[in-house]
Parts: sequence; C-alpha cells; structure tokens
Amino acid sequence: MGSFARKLLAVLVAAVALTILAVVPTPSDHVAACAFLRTPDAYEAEAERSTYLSTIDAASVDALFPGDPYFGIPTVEVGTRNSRADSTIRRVPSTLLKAIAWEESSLTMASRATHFESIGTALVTFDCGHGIMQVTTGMTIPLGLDSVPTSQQVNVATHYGYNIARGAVILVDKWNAAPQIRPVVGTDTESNPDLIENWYMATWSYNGFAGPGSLSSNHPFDPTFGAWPRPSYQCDGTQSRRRYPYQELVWGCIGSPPQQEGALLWQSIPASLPDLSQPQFAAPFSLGNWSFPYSAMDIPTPQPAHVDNPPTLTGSEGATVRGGPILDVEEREILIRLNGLPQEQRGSVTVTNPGAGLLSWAAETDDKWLIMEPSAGVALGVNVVCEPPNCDRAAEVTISVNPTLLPKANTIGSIRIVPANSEFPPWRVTVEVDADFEVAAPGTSRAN
Amino acid sequence: MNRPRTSLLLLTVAVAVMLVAGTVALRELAGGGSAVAPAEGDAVLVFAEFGRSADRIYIAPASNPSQRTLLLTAEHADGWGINPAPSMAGSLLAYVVLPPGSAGRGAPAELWVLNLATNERTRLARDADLFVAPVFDRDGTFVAYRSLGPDGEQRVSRADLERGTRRVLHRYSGEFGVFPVAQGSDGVALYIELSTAGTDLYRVDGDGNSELLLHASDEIARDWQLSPDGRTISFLAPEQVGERIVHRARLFALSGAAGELLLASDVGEQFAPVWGPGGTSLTVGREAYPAATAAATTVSIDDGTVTMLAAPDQGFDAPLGWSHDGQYLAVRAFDGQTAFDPGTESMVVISLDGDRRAVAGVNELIFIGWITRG
Repeated sequence: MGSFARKLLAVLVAAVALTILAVVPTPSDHVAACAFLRTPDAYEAEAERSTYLSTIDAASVDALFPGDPYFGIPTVEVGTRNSRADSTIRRVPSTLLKAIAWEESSLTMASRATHFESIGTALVTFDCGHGIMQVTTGMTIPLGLDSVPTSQQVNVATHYGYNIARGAVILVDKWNAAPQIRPVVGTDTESNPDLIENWYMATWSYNGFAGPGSLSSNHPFDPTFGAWPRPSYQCDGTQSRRRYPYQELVWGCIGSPPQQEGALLWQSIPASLPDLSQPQFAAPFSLGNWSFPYSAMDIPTPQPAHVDNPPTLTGSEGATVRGGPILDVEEREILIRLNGLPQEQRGSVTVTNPGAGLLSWAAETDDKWLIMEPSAGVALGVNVVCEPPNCDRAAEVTISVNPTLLPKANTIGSIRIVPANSEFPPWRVTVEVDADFEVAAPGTSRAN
Repeated sequence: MNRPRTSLLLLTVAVAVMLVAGTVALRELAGGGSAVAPAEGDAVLVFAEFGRSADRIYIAPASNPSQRTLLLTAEHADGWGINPAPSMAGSLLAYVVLPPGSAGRGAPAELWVLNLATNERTRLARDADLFVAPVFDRDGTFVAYRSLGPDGEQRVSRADLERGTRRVLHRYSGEFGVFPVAQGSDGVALYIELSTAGTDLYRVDGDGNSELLLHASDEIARDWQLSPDGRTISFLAPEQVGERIVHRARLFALSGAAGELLLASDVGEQFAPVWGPGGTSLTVGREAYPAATAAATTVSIDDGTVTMLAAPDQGFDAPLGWSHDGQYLAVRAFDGQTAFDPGTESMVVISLDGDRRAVAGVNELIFIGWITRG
C-alpha cells in the first residue's frame, strides 16, 4: 500500500499540474508578443451600438480625455507638402471613425461569444488588434516594468472609451505622418481636415501602407483585389471583403451605413474615392512613385468633397464614459490547498465597483508561480446596464498555482488588483499555498 | 440580444441541410436528371454566391441561369469569400479560402480542388494566399498558387494533383509581389512580378529556373489569361489616352517571335479580356462612357474581325468566361458608365443569339466556370 500510495500521490500531483496547465492558457495559446499573456475581459454594451456611437462622437472632437498625452487627440496639421503646419484643430471626422470601427470590429469590444450588455473575453486578434478600434500600436508587447502591461494597455484592452479614444489618436497620427513619411491628400484644398476625402491616405495607413502585391497591400490598383472594375462596397454583408482595399471598405461603410435593429447606424455621406482614370490620381499611384517617403504620391482632394459636420454633443459624454469608478475587493487573503478538494485547489478574488462607469483593473503579482485568470478586466458601476443572468457587475479573478514553480511546499505570495482608470491604490491580497502532501511510510500498508 | 448559441445551432443545421442538398444535386448532375437539369450537351454555369460565413456553389443551365441548383457550401472566415481559379479544368474547380476561425487577412488560406464528376473535394495546401486566385493547367494536372512563407515571403507554388505533391517554384521577399498567372501542362508556370519599374512576366520551370519573358508595363498590368493553345497570353495595361488613363487589352506570343501586339479597337477603357474556346478570338468589355451602354466585343486574332455581343440596356459588361461550345459568355454586368462609377453589379449570361439572362442571386456572385451536361 505504501508503494501504491506514493504512486497514487504522484499521479495525483501530476494530474493537478496537468489540469492546471491544461486549463490555464500557455503563451503558445495566444500570440506571445501581445500585451497580455492571457486575453483580458471587457464589457460589451448594447446591440444597438448607441453607447459606442455616442462615444465615437465625443472622441472625434476630443471630448473624452482632453489633454491626456496618450488618449487626447493631438492637434491636426494642415496645409500642403511645402506649407504643412500645426493647427489648433483637434478633430477627426466622426463618420469616418464610425466606419473604421465597423470595419475593424463590427463595433464590438468583446469576442463574439460575449452577450451584449455583459462582460466577456475581450476582442483580441492574432495580430494583437484590441477591441473596437483594433488598436495594435502599443499593444504588441507589455510595456510596463518587468513586462507587466501598463495601465494604458489595460484601458485600451478592456474599456471601450479608452479604446475608441486611442483609435482616434492613431488616426490623427497617421494624418500627421504626412508629409514626412506619407503622402498628402488635398493639394488643392490646403489638405483641409474637415473634408472627409482628405483622410484617404490616413485611413489607408490605419490598416497598413504597404506596396502593391504585398501581403498587406491596400493599393487601389493592386490586382490582388480581383477583377476590375469593382462596385462600391455596400457594408451590408453581401460582398466579400477580399475584393476591396481597406480604405474602400471604409468609404463604402461611410456611404452605405450598416443597419442594426432596422436603423442606420449613422447618416450616409457619399464620400468620393480618387478617380483612377484621371492622371492627377493615377500618376501619383504609379509603381515608380512607391518609394519612401512617398513624396511623389500627393493627390488632390477627390471630388465631390464632403464635410463631415461635427457632432452635436450634450456635454456629458466625456464624464459618462470616464465615470467615477471605485475599486473594491472582497478578499484580503486566500488559501489554496493543492492537497485539498478540487475547489480548494484554486482561489478567487471578487472585484467590484460601487462607483459609476467602468472600472478597468489588472491583476499583478511578483510571484511567478501564481496564475491569475483573467489578468485584466472590468467591473461595472451601478449606472452601467447589466442584466442577470448573463451579466454580473463584479469580476471574479481565479487564482491558481503552477506547482512546478513553487519554491517550497508551504508558500505565501500576493497579488495586486490595480485600477487602471482611477486613482485608488492597488488592493493587495495574500495568497497562502499548502502543497504539503502526506505520504504514507513504506511498509505500513495493510493488505485487504 | 443573445447572439451566439441559437445562431450557431441554426447555422449548423443549415449547413447540414445544404450539404445534403449539394450531394443530391451532384448525383443529379452525374446522371439522374432533375426539374432544372439541362439537356445533354448543354452548357452549365458553375458559380458561387457569397455568404457571410459560407459561400454556396451552384450550377445553372446556360439557357436558364435563374434556375440554379445548390452543389455544396464552402465555409470560410467571417466576411472573406472564396477566391476561385478564373476557369475550370474539365470537371475540376479550384479555390482558395480562409477557413472558419481564421483571423482574417494575412492568415494562411487553404487551397481546395473539387471534382464535380465525383463529388470528391481535396485540400491541397494550407499555406495559400487568399488574395491571389489559383490557376489550373488545361488538363487539370497542376494548380499554381501563391503561398505564404516565413517573414512575409511570397512563393509561386505548384500542386501536382496526380502525384499529390507540392513544389515551390519561386520565392520573393521584396516590397511588392509576385502572382502566378498561368500554368502549363508541362509543369512550366508563368508569373508576374511587380516592382518600381512596373510589371514583368516570367516563365519558371519545375526546377525553379526563371526566365524574363516580357516587360509588360511601367505600371501594373493585370487580368492575365493564357490562350487555350498555350501560345499567347492576354492582359490589360494602362495607358494615357487624351486626358484619361485607360486599361487596354494586349497580347503577347509566348514563342517570343511575334512580340507584343496591341489589340486594335476604340480608345476607351477595356475590361477583362477572355479567350474564345478555340483560342482564335478575344472578348473584351468596354466602358459605356460617353454613351449610356456598350457591348462586349469579340475580336478575331487572325483577321481583326470585330463582333459585338448583346449590349445591356444600360451600362457595360466585364467578361468572365465562354462556355466550351462558344455559345454563351458569362459577364459581370454594370449599370454605370465607367470603372470609376460602375454602378451596381450583376452576373449575366449572354448567348450568341442575342439573349441576356440574369443569374439569380441576392449577394455577390462569383464566377467559377463552365461544364457541359453529358
């Protein structure tokens, strides 16, 4: 029996370890290069997308996080190649931003398995695109100390407001990349950013500015998009995306808005594409001009041009999105018994938000043997729509142990629940682990 | 409001029903006959209708293309439809597809071949590029396709259907791209390479030896198609005519003796040149501008004789492919005037007797090819 007991225990320990390793995603389960080793959680608002659309309206005029160096819209440069200069404008066309959001994610923050008005796994694609705006820039590797995601990364991955704001910032960055490393659109209109058509190259760059024929090309003459000519993209699910450069997908959605619950998600604007039969557009797009910094690719404004009027805001959009989240955690200490019942072999921490809006949080630890799932997420304030049974305002973090990394059988470690979008201090939870298996002495078993 | 499970269940049931229906349809095609079955010897159009998560492949008699019969469904990643070879090889059709669950553009696609005579579907590769259509040789022995290598490398690859093998013929790691455009029955493939200098046509043999055949254009030349006898290749190249940039059809004799030929016709934009089944004529679409309508035009390679096909009431046609008997031409019909403003798109079968018959479909229709009822 002694020998049998040892074998049994060995099998048990191995089973526990294997179970944990099987349940907990390993780096290879996801793109190891993304900011989060394990996909965080996010809140998905209502199916009608009205929360996201009003947030985009606010983001488009820098009403969400004005002055924030990471989430506030920078000033937009105006003028042609030789007269490009900074301005006081902090704005992107709202309809353009909505169409990009639709193309990127169908205006969703979480994975398709997530119910609307509930919390679920965040939308993260294989190339580290995060959330509604599929933010990739700054989300490919953990940027914080000791390879821990920063609060900015946590907010982008979990909170729709920050995600949308960051998408708007990136779009302005793409605009401002001209003329240094990108072509100017609007050589005949002083590259007026009020004209939606002048965002053609910035939109192209939002998805990737690569050479024709390359794997991520959006060149309008690229034969990879199939037979010529191609009809306008209708943005209604009746056409394959394969036939269109990214900017034409977005332009199609601007002119032919998708519907949700029978209503158009935004007002149509018949934005014009460059007329490729005209030399003033075809010549700049010549293969011979595809040479960094693309200074020979400047084009005039596609006509007829359209102004996307600034949205009418109530003034409360920014405060609503920012909310007033409060971090509250129920547990101060937890005990994990690897030699206990299955439910004792892991612990959990409940994160709540008695404040308003979304609380974005991250779970951090210095103890490599602790595994937290999810490692980041949101807790919903009292004013956030959340209907049971599909939705729980609180977030539960499951704590488990990688026994192969335990320094000793009885160990004490800790985790920190760190709020990413409030000034509350991190909440520390002590984790005690008991992995002391009792092994029967050899020769003491009784044969039945 | 609660989207996933019910939709998934319904989708699963729907796909199962469609698969059963497709199997039945294939049996009908193989011999049984059905309510919409064309007469023996008649041309049958093979096409697909795009669906958000699965494309449905149909057949329809050329004489009545609105009466379609479902063959099968090809599931794909959300929003990314199949990309078929521009023509079939006998009863074989080939397509590349992003499998369900793929992350979208940039993810490896699968290369499939389907034999309509046997209902056998074979996956040939899982490293294909969705954005470049595969291309058969005339006999259906080889399929050339663009595959994805590490670190953004592009490859012109060739699958051997008889031996079940694959071979990389050419590797490219530049800033632009390479595209297989034709495959010979002898294993030799033709591909184009883009660069800042324009478009160049190359021949590559089975050992990977490449030979420059033609500098086709200083810009992007497109819509390449090999003649049925394998001796001439057609393509479109841009040129400035007056104050406009238009694409015009050109021919190149692969023997190298004849050099490059300009196809004489009017001065406007031309679309999608396709070879007649005998290889002695080329049909091109023409923009309607400045008129309201324009017919596709067939030009005899031998004597330059021009034949106008039935024109649409409004708009223009972009040819897709002739039936084997030369009686029917499938086209993409547009109701606009120009490539810049083409209007709405539909698929139409034009017969030599002047009829224009629309192919039924709500979503985007994808031409696959023609077979003959026999």
